[in-house]
Parts: sequence; structure tokens; C-alpha cells
Amino acid sequence: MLLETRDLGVRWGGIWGLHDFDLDVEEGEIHGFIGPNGSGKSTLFNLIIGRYKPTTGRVVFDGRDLAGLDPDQRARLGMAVKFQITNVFAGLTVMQNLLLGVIGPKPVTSLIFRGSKQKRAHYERAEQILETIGLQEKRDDVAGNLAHGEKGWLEIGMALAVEPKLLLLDEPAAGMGKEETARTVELIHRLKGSRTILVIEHDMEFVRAVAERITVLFKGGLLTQGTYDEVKMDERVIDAYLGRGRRDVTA
Amino acid sequence: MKNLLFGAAQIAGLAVVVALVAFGFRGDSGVEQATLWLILGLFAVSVSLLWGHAGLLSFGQAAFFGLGAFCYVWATTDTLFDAPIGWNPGIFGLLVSVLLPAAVALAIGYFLFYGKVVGAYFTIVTLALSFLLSSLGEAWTSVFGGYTGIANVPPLTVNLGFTTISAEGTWAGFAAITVVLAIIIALLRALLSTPFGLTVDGVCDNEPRLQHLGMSVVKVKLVTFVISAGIAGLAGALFAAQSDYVASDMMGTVLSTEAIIWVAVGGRKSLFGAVLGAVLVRGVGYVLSGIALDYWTLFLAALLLVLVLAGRTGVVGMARWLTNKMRAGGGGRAAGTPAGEGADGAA
Repeated sequence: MLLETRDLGVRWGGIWGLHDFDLDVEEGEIHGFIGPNGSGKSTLFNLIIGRYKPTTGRVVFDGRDLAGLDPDQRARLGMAVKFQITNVFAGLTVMQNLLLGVIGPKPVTSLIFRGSKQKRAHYERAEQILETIGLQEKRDDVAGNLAHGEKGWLEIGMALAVEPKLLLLDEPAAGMGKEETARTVELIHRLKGSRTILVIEHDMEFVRAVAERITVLFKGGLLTQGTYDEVKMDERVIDAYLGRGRRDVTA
Repeated sequence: MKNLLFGAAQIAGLAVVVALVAFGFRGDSGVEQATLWLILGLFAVSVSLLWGHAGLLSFGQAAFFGLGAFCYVWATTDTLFDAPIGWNPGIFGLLVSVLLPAAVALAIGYFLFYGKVVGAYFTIVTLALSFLLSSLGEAWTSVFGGYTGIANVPPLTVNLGFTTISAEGTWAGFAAITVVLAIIIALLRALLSTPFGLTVDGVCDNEPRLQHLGMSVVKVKLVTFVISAGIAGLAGALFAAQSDYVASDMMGTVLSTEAIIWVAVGGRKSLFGAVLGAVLVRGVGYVLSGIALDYWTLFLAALLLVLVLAGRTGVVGMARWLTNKMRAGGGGRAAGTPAGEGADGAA
């Protein structure tokens, strides 16, 4: 098991953003998360990467309890994230963004004293990623000036540059057109097998295309889990997504 | 190599202009002012590294500058400690003036950065540090000289075997300071061009993102803070060696603030711009005070306002914008407008 959460929960004042959440993710799996807005999907991601501190429970990654670890320590253990709201180095170039992904998990002292020697290897790795995400043309553009979809790819590219065991993608296709979405699906397919991927997406077609297993969240809790077809037929999911009145009409 | 030569030429060119202006106004006695301007330029470089590059706005940089100055005084006079036997007291003082402020920065920075003190809170704590040290200096007469400070600081004299250079009030000393300045800027540029330098830019641009990529941003900030304090300390010691008088207000908030103004005027992302800003503000102030004794600070303040409002990238940013514009035949606003660069810098 690469990732386990047990009894995981976080409370802000009187509201539980996530509660009693148990999850098991196998190595190599592509796992989808769906659920209405505010159901706790992004909260779950933020608890895993260490942006939020849990009120209850724990996260175990690669056999190690992550309690008390800072986001950078967790990233160095082998996880990387693409945030829901695209988050890149807006003032730096595309290439510099990717280079920061490549050198991100490396010790600071090695970057000072052995940095120049390794520079070339860093560049080669960044060039590879640049090709993977298809932004060769934009190599020296300032990241803040990229189109929305391109920024999303750049952020995925940065996350890939970290060479993570676990890749967390929070709405990778948000704001993308049909063609861009298809390219993103293709990118995830290419990563299949070499990475374990958690992906949050509202677009059900997207989830169906990439995820082997799907977890449905509702009001901060786990609603159900299964394959796309299992989840699609689950009455509680239909209730949660469409509302009871709507189901009565369709039934 | 080309960049290295260009950097050296920049500093040499600036030094020649400074020397000519100082000589033009005061003859040979202008050398002392000219040297002090360049030393303050070195101090401004430390602020540019910390604020311009790592995005850490410190109002406590003078604490390290002043501490460096006192390190030189302690080593060369009969006060706190003596140089080991066989050492030139002045050279030993310079060495301590780098190490002690750096060590203090390491201790303070460790708690600040690991304690997750960021943004305005960091700035406020550094302000307090400057205030604290200068107050301590005023109260602790036996070590810092109290309100009156310490006078008759021995100049730095270096015996080169065939000749002896005294750094106080000589053109040889001025040339030596120019060389020191050029070397430190070259070293910093080399550091900033390593992958470490990129992480410094990353901290400034988007610290949380960098952290989620696995970078220990605390260490990046700590290293930058310590180096910056070491340079400020060295500048302080050189200042003490040059000016023969040191007082605790050299560690205070006024000088800290002034250094931030220099860097804002010069362009905070540019190390050379920092030197230029210091020389310009101090130099123009010097010239204006000779012309209009009563109103010169008014003129200076107006000049600062214009410079900062006209382009947040300072003199260097404006010069770049102008050259870009001329290259584009006066038509292109596409690349490097002051506003655009300013926005990037502020991000």
C-alpha cells in the first residue's frame, strides 16, 4: 500500500472539512475523486501534502506516518501536487519553473557547492519534461503570461519533474477546452504504471477515461468507492450529485 | 567570463565617475567621501541580495553593518578582544566583522525562519533587532562607547612587502575598496547563477509552491540571510577603517531605512543598481547640501519620490527600459517596460 489514511479529519470551528476518512491506494493505481463542491476532495489533498494539519487521524505514505512533517519533507518522500487554482512561479520562465521542479527535492548545500556541475543534467531533465507537456515553443516565456491551460500543464510538468511516487492532480482539466482535455487525458495515460496518481475532477468523462477506482465524497465524508460503472449506478451517488427531487423525476 | 568582465567594467566605470566628481568638488580631500560612498554601496549590495533577490525586506540590516564596524574597532583598539599574535589587527577585524554578524544572523534567522515568521512580521522583527542593538550600544559605554561613540579608530594599513597601503583617505585605499566591491559582486553573481540562485528567485516569486516541490525554503532563506549579514558586516568594518569614528547609531533604524531607499532607487533586483543607488543618493545629497544648505533634504526627498514613482525598478530598470526602447526604434513597449518589470518584481 503506497498511501493510507485512517480516521483522517480536520475541523475548522464547528465545521468538519473532512471526517473519519479511510483510504487505501495501491502502488501504480490511478484513483479518481468526485463529489459536489465542498465535499472535502481538495481538503483531503491538502491534508496529504501537509498544507493543512489534521484534527484527527493520520496519513501513512510508503510505510511512514507523516504526522508533523512539513510540506517540503513530504514532497521529498516522493509526492507532488498540481493545485486546484493553478500555482506556478508567475515571474519566472517556463524553463525556470521546470528547473525548480527538478532541483526541488535536492539538498540546499548540494545546489551551492555541486550545483554548477549538475546544471547540465538538470537542464536535460527539464527539457524532457518540456517535451512531455508540449510547451517547447514557450520555453522562455514568463509563466504568468501563459494561457490558463498551459499553466495547468506547466504545473503538472513541475510536479513530474520532482519524480514523485505519488502525483496528486486537483482538477487538471479545469478551464480546458475539449482538445486540451483530451491531451491531458493522454498525458495521464502515458504516466500509467510508472506513477501512482490521485485525481480530482468534476468532468465525469475525464474521470471515466483515466481512473481505475473512484472514491465519492459527500459533506466531508466517504460516500462510496468502486469502479466507474459501480459508482455510477449507486443510488446514494445519484442523490448526492443530482438531488433527491431530480432522481424521482428520472426514476 | 564575458559577464565577469562586464561586471568589473561597471564597477570600475562607476568608481572613476565617483572619483572625478569627488575630486572636482573637494580635490584630494574628496577621496574620503568617495570611498565612503562605495563602502555604503557594498552595504546596499547586501540589502539587494536579501530584499531584491530573496524578497526578504529587512529593516535590521544596519544592525549587521554597525556590528561589523564595532568588530573592527574591538580588534584594532584596546577594548573587547585583541588580534592573535602575528595577525594584522585590521585584517583580523575585517575577518571577525564578517563572521560575527553572520553568526548573529544565523542564530536569529534560525528562530525566525523555522518559527515561520514571514512577510511583514519578519520585517517588524528585524526593525526591532536594529532598535535593540543601537539602544544596547548607547547604554553599554565600555563596549560600544555609549552616546559619544568611539573615536580615533586606527586606519587599515596593509604591508605588501614592497610598500604599505593605508586605506584611510588615500586614492590607493579608494582603488582597493573598488576592487573589493567588484570581487564581492562577482562572487554573488556566481552564487546567484548556481541552481541555488534559482531557488532564491523561487522563494521570492512563490515560496509555498517551492516548498511543495520539496525545497527546504527555510534553509534557502537562512543561507541568504547569513551571507547578506556577512557582507553588511564587512561593509561596516571597512566604513570604520575609513572614517575613524564609530557610534551605535550605525546599527540603528535610520541607516537601515536609508539602505532600503538606496536599493529602491537603484533597482532592487540589480546588485550594481544597489551600489549606484547608494552613490547617487549620498552623492546628490552631498552636492545639494553644498548648493542649498537649508533645502537640500527637500530636493532629495522630491528626487526620491520621482524616481520611485516613475519606475519601481529604479535607475537600472529605467536604463534598461530606455535601451530596449531605443533598440526597438522608439516603438516597442513590449519588452521590459518599467511597470511590467516592477509587477514581476513585486510578485
